[in-house]
Amino acid sequence: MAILKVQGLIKTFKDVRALDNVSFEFDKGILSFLGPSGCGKTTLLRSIAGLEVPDSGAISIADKVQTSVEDGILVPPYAREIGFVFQNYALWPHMTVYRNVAFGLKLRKLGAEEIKRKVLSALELVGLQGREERYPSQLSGGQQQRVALARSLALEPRLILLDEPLSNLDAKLREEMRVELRKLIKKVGISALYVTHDQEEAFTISDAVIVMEAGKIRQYAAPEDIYNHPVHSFVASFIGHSMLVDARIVKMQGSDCLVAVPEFNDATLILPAPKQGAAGDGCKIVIRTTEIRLSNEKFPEGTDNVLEGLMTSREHRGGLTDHRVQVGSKEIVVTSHKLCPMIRINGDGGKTFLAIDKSAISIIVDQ
Amino acid sequence: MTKRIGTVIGIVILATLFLWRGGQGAEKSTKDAAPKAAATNATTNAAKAFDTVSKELYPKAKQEGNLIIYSVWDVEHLRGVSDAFMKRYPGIKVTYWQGRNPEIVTRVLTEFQGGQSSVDVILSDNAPPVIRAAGGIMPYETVQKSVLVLHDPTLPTVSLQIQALSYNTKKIKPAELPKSWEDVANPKFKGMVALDDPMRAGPLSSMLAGLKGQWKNDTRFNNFLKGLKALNVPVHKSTSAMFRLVIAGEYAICMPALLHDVFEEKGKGTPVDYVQTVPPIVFPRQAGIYAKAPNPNTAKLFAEWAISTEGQQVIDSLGRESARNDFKSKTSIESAFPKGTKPVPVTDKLFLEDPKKWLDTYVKPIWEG
Amino acid sequence: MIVPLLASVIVGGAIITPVVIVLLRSLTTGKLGASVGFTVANYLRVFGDRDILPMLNNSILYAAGSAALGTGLGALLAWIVARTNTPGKALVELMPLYPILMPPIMKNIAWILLLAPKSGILNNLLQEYFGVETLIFNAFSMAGMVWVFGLACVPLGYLFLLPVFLSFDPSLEESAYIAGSRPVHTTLRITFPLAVPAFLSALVLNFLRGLRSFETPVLQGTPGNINVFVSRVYDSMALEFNTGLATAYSVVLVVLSVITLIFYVRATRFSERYATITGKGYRVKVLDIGAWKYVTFLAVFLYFLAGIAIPFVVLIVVSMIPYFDYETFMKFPSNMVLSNYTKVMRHPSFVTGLYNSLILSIIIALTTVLAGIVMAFTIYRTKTYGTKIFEFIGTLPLAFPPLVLSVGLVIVFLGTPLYNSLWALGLGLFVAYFPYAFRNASGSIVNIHKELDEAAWVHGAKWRHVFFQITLPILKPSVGGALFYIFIEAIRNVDVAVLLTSPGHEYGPVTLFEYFRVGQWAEAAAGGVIYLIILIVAVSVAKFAFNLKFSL
Repeated sequence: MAILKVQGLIKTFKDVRALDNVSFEFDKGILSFLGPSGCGKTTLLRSIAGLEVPDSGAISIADKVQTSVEDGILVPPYAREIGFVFQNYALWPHMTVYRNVAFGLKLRKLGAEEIKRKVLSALELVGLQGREERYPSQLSGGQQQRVALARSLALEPRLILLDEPLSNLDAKLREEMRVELRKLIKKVGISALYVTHDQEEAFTISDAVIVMEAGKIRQYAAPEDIYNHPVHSFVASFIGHSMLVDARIVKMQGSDCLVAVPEFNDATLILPAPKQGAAGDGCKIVIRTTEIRLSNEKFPEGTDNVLEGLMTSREHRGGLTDHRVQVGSKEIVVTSHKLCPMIRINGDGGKTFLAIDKSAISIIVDQ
Repeated sequence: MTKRIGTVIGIVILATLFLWRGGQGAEKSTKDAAPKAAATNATTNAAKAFDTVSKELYPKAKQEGNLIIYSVWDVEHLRGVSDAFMKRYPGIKVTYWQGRNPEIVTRVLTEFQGGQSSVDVILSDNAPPVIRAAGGIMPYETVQKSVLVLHDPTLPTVSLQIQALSYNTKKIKPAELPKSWEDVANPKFKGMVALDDPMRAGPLSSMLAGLKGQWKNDTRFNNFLKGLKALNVPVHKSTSAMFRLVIAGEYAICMPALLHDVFEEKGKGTPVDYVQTVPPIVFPRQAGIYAKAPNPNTAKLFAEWAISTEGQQVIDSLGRESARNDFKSKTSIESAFPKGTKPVPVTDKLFLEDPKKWLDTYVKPIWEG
Repeated sequence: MIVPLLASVIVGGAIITPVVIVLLRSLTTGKLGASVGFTVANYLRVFGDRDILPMLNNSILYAAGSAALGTGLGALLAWIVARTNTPGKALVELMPLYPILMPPIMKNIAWILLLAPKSGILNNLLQEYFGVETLIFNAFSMAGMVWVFGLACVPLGYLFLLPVFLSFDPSLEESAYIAGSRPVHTTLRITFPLAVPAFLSALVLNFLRGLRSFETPVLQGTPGNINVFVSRVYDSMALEFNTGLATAYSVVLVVLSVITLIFYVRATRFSERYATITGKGYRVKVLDIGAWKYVTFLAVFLYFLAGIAIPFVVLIVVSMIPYFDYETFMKFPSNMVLSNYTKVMRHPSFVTGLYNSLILSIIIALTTVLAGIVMAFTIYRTKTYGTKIFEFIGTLPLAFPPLVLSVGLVIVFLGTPLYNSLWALGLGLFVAYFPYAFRNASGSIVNIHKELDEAAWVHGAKWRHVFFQITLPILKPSVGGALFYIFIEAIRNVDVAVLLTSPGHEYGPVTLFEYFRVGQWAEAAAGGVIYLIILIVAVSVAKFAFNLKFSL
């Protein structure tokens, strides 16, 4: 039984298609909707919650139809038995933490003792025990977010929806919270839908990711697959630390292929072959710049994909260094840690050699 | 834009009126034939005295050039009076401020205490004697005193408040009517009387002051009060609103009503009338001169003019009662009441200057028990 | 931070000066307003007056009843208009506005004529058409008084609450839905409670107005033997011309007002708990109330009828029949006359007075609203200590019966060249109407989440940036309502500044409603009808042509 089934969702706001025929199924676990603002991910999430009504399509949660425009079914949000954590937490400012969390429980007509038990255990789960009598305005952002989480978890839903819950937190806290959130959700054993525009966050927290652009699903896969094998140029450009370059297939060579890259002074590169493609096809190659080796000296003969360029500058930012190398008409930025063995550079400028393993390059053939 | 809309609407309404020539409710026309003053010695003497004082005061008033009036009268009446005065005596500019009596007294006394010369004439009923008691009045005796119904040597009386016993003709038959003011306190009128508040220094209080002065009999007076109380009616704080309610039929008898109100409504065909055999209560309306008046001569001129026949004609045309005993008009005692009717004047000095004290002494013990 | 604080101090000073003067006079004035040196005689009179307790009782009952009825109804209407899918949106938005235009005295006339026990239209209609003999309606009763004044209190409730409902962060309600709360439950437990500061602000304002309300109790209370406290104040003026005594009596009202305000300040002291306008931009969510939407439409329509349509019709008829009693009323239009209209149009100051009052009212509305926001800003947004005192200062003028306040104002101006000028009148009106603007701003500013300002501070904004670019724009909806209300009030209200109008400077409302004072109700009705038509046209034009929004 899939926890979520979405079929043919369409939603238009004025002339903009926020959802353009979106369909997918998700079994269980944590699924992220990833994309830039305006891509439709929040609209998708809110439609699943019942807070938005699509123009057409259907949504089922745990095999129960929640929305079906064609059949005229629209289960209201207060009957969908899901959890929802809002971006701005939406804690009720006039109620204490306790009352915020107990609100939904009271509606289930549970006994006072049981309510108390569930509230306190939910607060303990998120690490806020002892703060029941505070008001939201007396809590920090991170604490408020945890109250919002506790509020949803207390109702023990099967599916919890989170709308960019960490975007209001500082970077360090964000990094900590992503790991914690995943641990927590897994511990409780429920599935989650997670909306974010931060690729790292999506990859850390999810079992599967849906990358969206302009209301369409561009790729739906596990994080590593998306990272290693983006199937759409948008996905490739969106996933960080990759660069997209135009190229042309020169020759297919068994499981590899050779491409010519005009912007690299027509250098020829070798990389894993696409599923479909022939010599002469235009394409785009995706180079993961974190896997480029740099050196002031020539690489040994037979090294794959060696390029020659000029380093224009080297910027140190904290523990990372950006190396900017001009190859042909393109500037390649290689970011590395201080002690990275792939980088053998002295000085801030001068002739530089680059070596790229064929596994660090993917190809997207033009349609 | 709203001003234009207002004017447009006004024009539309006026146009409709001209075309339609609406029925009842004719305006008081200034074209009524001016009633002629009865020719008596007192009249001619007063006329001569007026002529003299007018010629004497006018040049001085012209030099002053201004006249400021505070009054309780309607703005339309004030406008009518000022326009007529300015027409008669060119070169003098008249401005006025309208307010209720407490407002007038407060304002004048505050200005007086502040040493301000802000007003010349205080044209009102209750206000001038009160202000006088506080020292705010410049005493002035009119040269035309011989023709006045009520005369005060310090405050020129220019008009009268005349009270009549009025009733709704649909609600009570002539045979059932009270025969006198005292008769109103009869238990048979229980619940039918719209009664003014005797404790608020309004018309009923004045009536009580007048009747007490006339009867000179404490027992009689107290019985009257007790009888009024036994009518078991709530009291009103606004004579005009009271009158409206009588017209509407909420009450049968208006205790009391103002004569000119009754005449105005009768003229429209309203089912009200007054008992002619009940003598009217008269209360002076005075044009008191402010102690620190900046234009004293103009003020005196105004007072004299107001009392003169021409002034009284203007006042009469506005629907206000004349102060003279030789002036025939609809609302004069001669024409409105049977021959030989003796009006009841309100002249009690204590009442006029300190109404609260008077009421506390003579009315409160009985009324508030 | 200095500038708003300074501005508040200046405005506060301007407001409190007449108050202080009046209070001082109560300790130094005797009969006829003469100075008698320091004396507590006036206060001894007040405390020795045994009759004031039942009168105070009546006053509180009347004021509280009307405030509760009016504010409650107004808030409900605001919610209906802002948050439900009641049909006829354009109409429903407009209908609650028109009753605001109804001048108060006109309301009194109309309802007395409708509800008078023996002569009233409704009772007679019931008798004529339904054979009902008992006199059901009685204008001269506490119920009658509360009905009329309560209706007059609705606009404040409506105008204060409408912006609050319109700028409500929907995620606060959505999270409730997710938790399983149905719309009704959500509205009752989330939406309404968060609107409490604005509601209380309007309630307090209405209550204070009721305490010092004069016309309705005089016209409807006295004939029913119901006496309210404020008449003692007027009697001291009318009978003894002693402003000192009048003030001493007013002090009782002031004490009551201060107590009310303390309650208000305490109730809303945790302003963060009412922050409903948060950082996200959003669209307000409209609730689908199903078949109830016809009921709500009916409710709005009924209010429209009771608030303006019925009284307006009564007034029109009254202005065009020779005199009023039930039979004559029913014979209309066969006995129609237009003489009252000609009389009014020929009134010397009608048109010029209207023009003056229009200009002055616009200016007063703008200045009081701006000053009110500045003062509310000072209290709730600058971190200066002790600014809560401005809550009291800003609302204090309302506690004083207008006549008493005017004396203080007169004294302030006496001897200065401002006396007897339109400036004095303008300043007097400013002091009188400031409390409305201030209460409105105070109730609304509380709803703006601090983070909105703080975002600006963090980016280097000084107070004036925050004020003009954040606070003011967000308050725009409620500002519109406040401007509208104060303009309408100023343009037809007299009692406040009667002593400050000067010979030669006519002020519209004074000239028009003296008809009412002298009992010429028919002419007053005619004038009122003309006034109303002008205002209705002006408001409709503003709404449609210029798309001026008093709400959204």
